[in-house]
Amino acid sequence: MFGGKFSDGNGKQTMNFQQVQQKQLAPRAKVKAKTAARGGGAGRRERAAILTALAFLLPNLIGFLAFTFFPVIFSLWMSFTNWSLKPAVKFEYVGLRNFTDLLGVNATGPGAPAVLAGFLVCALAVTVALVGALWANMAQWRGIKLGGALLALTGAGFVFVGCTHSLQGLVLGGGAALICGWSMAAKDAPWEFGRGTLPGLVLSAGAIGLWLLSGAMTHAYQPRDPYFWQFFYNTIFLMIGIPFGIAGSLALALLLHQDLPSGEARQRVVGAATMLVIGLVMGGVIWTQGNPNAGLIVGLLWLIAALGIGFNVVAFRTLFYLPTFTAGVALMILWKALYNPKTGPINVGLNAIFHSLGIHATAPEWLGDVAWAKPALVLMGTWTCIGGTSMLLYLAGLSNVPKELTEAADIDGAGPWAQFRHVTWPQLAPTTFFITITSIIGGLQGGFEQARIMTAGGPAGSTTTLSYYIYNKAFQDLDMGYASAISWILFVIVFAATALNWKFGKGLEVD
Amino acid sequence: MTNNFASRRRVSLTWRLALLSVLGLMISMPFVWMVASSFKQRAEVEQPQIVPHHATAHNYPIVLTLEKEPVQNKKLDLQFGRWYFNSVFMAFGTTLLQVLTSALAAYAFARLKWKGRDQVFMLYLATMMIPSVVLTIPNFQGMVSLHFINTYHGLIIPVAFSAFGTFLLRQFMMSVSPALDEAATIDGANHWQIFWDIVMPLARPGLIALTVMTFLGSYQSFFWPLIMLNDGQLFPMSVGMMSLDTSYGRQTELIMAATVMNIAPLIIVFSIFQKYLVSGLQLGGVKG
Amino acid sequence: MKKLFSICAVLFVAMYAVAQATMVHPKEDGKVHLKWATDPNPARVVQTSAFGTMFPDTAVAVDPNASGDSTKVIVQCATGTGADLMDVTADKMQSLVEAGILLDLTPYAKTLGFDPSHTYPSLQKALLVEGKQYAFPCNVAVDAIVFNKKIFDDHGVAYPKPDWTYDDFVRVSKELQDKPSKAGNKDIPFANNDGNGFVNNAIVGCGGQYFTADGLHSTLNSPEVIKAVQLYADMMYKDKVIPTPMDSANMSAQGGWGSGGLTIFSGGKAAMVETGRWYICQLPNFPEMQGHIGAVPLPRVGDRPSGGACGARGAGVNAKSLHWRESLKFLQYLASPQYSKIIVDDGDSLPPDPNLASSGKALVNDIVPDPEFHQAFVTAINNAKPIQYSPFIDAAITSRWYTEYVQKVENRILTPPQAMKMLAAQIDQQIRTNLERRPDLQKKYEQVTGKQYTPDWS
Repeated sequence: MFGGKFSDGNGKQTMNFQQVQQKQLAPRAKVKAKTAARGGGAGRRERAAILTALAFLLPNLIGFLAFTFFPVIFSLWMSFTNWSLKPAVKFEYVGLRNFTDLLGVNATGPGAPAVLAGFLVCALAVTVALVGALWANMAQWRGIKLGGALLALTGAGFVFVGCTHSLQGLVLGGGAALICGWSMAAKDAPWEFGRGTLPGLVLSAGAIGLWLLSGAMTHAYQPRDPYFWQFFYNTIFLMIGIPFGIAGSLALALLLHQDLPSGEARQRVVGAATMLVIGLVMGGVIWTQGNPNAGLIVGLLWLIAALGIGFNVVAFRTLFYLPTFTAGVALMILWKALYNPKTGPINVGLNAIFHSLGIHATAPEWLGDVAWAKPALVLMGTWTCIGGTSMLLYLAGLSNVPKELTEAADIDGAGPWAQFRHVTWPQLAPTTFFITITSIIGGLQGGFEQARIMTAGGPAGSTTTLSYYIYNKAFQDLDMGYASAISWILFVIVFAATALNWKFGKGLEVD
Repeated sequence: MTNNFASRRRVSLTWRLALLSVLGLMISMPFVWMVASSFKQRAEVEQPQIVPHHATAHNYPIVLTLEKEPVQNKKLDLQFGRWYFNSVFMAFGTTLLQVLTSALAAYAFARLKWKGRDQVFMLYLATMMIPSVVLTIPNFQGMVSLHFINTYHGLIIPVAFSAFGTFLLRQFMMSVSPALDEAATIDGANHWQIFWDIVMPLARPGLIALTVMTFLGSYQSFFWPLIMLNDGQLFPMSVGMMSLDTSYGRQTELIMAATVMNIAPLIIVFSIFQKYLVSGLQLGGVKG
Repeated sequence: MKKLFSICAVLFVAMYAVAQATMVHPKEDGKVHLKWATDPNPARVVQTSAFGTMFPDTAVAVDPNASGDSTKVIVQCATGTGADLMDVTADKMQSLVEAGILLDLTPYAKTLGFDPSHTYPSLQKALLVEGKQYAFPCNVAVDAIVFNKKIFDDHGVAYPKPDWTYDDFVRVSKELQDKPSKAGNKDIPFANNDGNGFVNNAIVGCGGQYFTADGLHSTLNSPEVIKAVQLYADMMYKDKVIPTPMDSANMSAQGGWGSGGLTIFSGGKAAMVETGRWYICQLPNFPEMQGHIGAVPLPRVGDRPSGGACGARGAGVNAKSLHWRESLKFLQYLASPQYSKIIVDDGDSLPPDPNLASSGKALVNDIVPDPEFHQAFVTAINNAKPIQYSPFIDAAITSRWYTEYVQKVENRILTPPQAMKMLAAQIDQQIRTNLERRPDLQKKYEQVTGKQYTPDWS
């Protein structure tokens, strides 16, 4: 029997007995048997269920095992070895060496342990305060709103950008995020800390201690692989586009989920034709007056509006979805040309604007400048995904909002904002949740193709993400063991982020 | 009253239309530049103006190898039609297999109760979180032992099984009411019938979403086809197009012409199907 | 639903059948068909067919290696597949050798006539890793200053002379900036096409190198190298005669021959650019430039002779190839005067055969009929030296870190002395770690120094 190997001899006997019994039961009695039979009967059904499930699972499972699971396990094993593609390197098990190389720090002087001790005390205070506060404020915590979480994330992002690469940035950002999240956690009065006040104070004190000591820490200990931390920071930085992307997608979806009231077919044709003519005339005049580019843009604007009248929201949905089609190598070549500081249309346009406004500034040098390369990639990423799948998912979610709810809100005299805040937004929570999870997973693993094609990770490593670091270690340095170790650390980070989201998400579904 | 209503409607229409048009213009500017570049000559292609001073329509026939490349004075060694077919074929095959296998697996995870189900599902989810770059070498080694290098199988089969697809469809199938298949079970339907006749039609939004995502993802995939293939006849567009970027210079205007031709059919297909796509998605929505 | 899937499945099978049926398979003509992993540029057609003519029992086809990316070659060759022949550049050669991908050519080179003595003396070291030959050049890369005579005439500035110094370079550039253009154009004196290349050339010009001769220590913190990097930074920020690389949008990316400074030069907007002779194979795209370009060797540093870094895009043989013997014929072909003639004619850099590049006159072709132009590159190759890498640290890591620190100088995050000292310290630290961990390198250490390896060797 298939399931036999799962139980000992004794259990098998019972099962066989139960099977005989089961066979004799008439179909109508099945429901009764379901409740009556426990132990053995359930065992038989269990095996049958596993067999059925296996039949459905098998096509996917074979591929999954061969092309995903086996390579994953293989890479886990490899992360504990020095596997290299160089035959000269003798293959050996190196234990945790790859991981200590990646995450470890070296003490630079004799004073280091004292600093570390102080740091640990502060960290302990923060942890205790956090746990205590969580426990005390359980009720509020459970009711945390996604808005709070997003706000906290954005806050963290902003503080992150403001600070340098240092640990201070991390601590400050984390503190801001916590405080934001905290105040949002209190259900009705965001300004009240509730029972969390005392732990909150300890928390703040601990955080300030951490901040003060972090400078000393960075001097006392030097990371063994500073690149890992730099590239981790880059990866996180490139993710600050995510909240903007999500917000943008939602805004577009809100603008597009209802048809434009453009009237009857005849009216639409007339309207579109009128706009086309206006566009042609206006654009044509400007073009022939010596500014073909402005003429083209004006004409295009009218053309788009005409399409909107003619084809309604379909035109805009398709337009906003365009970047998703083109994503890929060609798009990156295109953006590289757009970002060209001298000849790219972006800077030519910006400089013209600065000039006409009388501002003495030159447009940034985007991909060539350490400070601007990451924002440039964030901008490109936001442009690419804003009207993509997230917008479609939001459109779907919006049409699932029950009409009765919005109508009831209308009757209650709720303004558009109140209606959105109290009716639409909560209803969209599951969609937001799904988009957030997939964006975070994608963001943490992302940045590889754009670094490879657009910047080679530069300038000075400022656009290298962890996935591109893995690629470099594996395919440039041939150090597969180390590359596997980085990817497993990345896995842990992604897993933690997802688990955290899952927790928030559970709270959302209760809402 | 009616008048007031009509004027309010007109105002709202104007505002929304104006806002959408400006946003639409911003989103489409890079494309305008792309299309414009595909009509430029080499000397002009990296200059900022959108409208070319000396427009040329020759880039398209050159990429399609209908015309000689003027500098070399011979036709380029491109197989545009073949690459185009390969892209479509690869994306089509990958999508078909992935949607089918994912749906079957999702049924097992969403609609069947069996011991160890949640554990196996967690395993599926967890593997999504490993960066795929590091799986390249073991996977490639596997392809070598299966003699899949330089074949269509090697392009399609390894990517035909997706944990993400299973996850997505599971979410959709979970939202189908269990009362329906319980009723069907009592009527004597087996799981195979329930799967095809009840769950699949109700999970349509998820199927459509997955189809679109998989098709686009596969159509644009670059890295795996790049390292899998040696024979130019098997290249998809994404890889083949890179033949225009050689030590003789990056032929940006030709790359742009090729890209325009590459995405044009997708745009047409999308504008036709987007109604079904969105309305399909509307049926179920996503549950976290 | 079931119907839909069935239709799709049938359609899929039909497409598959069509795809397989329309495949063109190589003819069964008794020839050995070789694959050559290289970029599929238009000149390959002539090059591969000439090989077929020379060795009628073999044929070679290009395995289009998009954008000169080495990943594909590494993945394919490491798993025993991959093309028979592949492109090898100096900075990639060591990695490919260590990965066991390249065949050691030393035993065959002498008898088959493609040992290093068949190419330029200055280039020979670039073909060797630890004394063994792994490649023969397809074309030879060495830089000179290429200039646009039209812009010089327009500004009334005299053309640069062959025996000039970096001071002259700055002076000429400033003249170009100060003297107005008669045509009213806005021109920049120099298009910075490749920052790394510029610094490499300056390093060799100043007499510096990346590593000590035994490869155990980095010399990137030596006064010569710091001087070279300082020269680059000063011209960029003090004299302001060369644009910052981001200014000219020269963002290097993995693979891709990019565009950047060359396009600015080709567009007639810059007076000078530092590039190789291979530039002229792009020239027919820019009809306005024809007949107006000149070239001079790189500027000298102080009293030192003019000199720059040289390298080659060579071809190596896949050690796991079934046809490695036939592949050797391809290297024979590369060493032949027939092949070099093709390179001379299409202008794809210098030919591997020095006899065909004895003087500027010998290199004249249809694209640039001016012998003086070609003479600049002949002078350059005779004075050039390859950049040498260390066997104790990956060349890939060295060049990645080097790029990073040069970019830090370009972005003014670090001064040249700071950057180069940190870079050298980082490299030395990595060499120590590598030696500590790898017995094969310890053995190499003993061969190089003749001393027993001890953990405190340095």
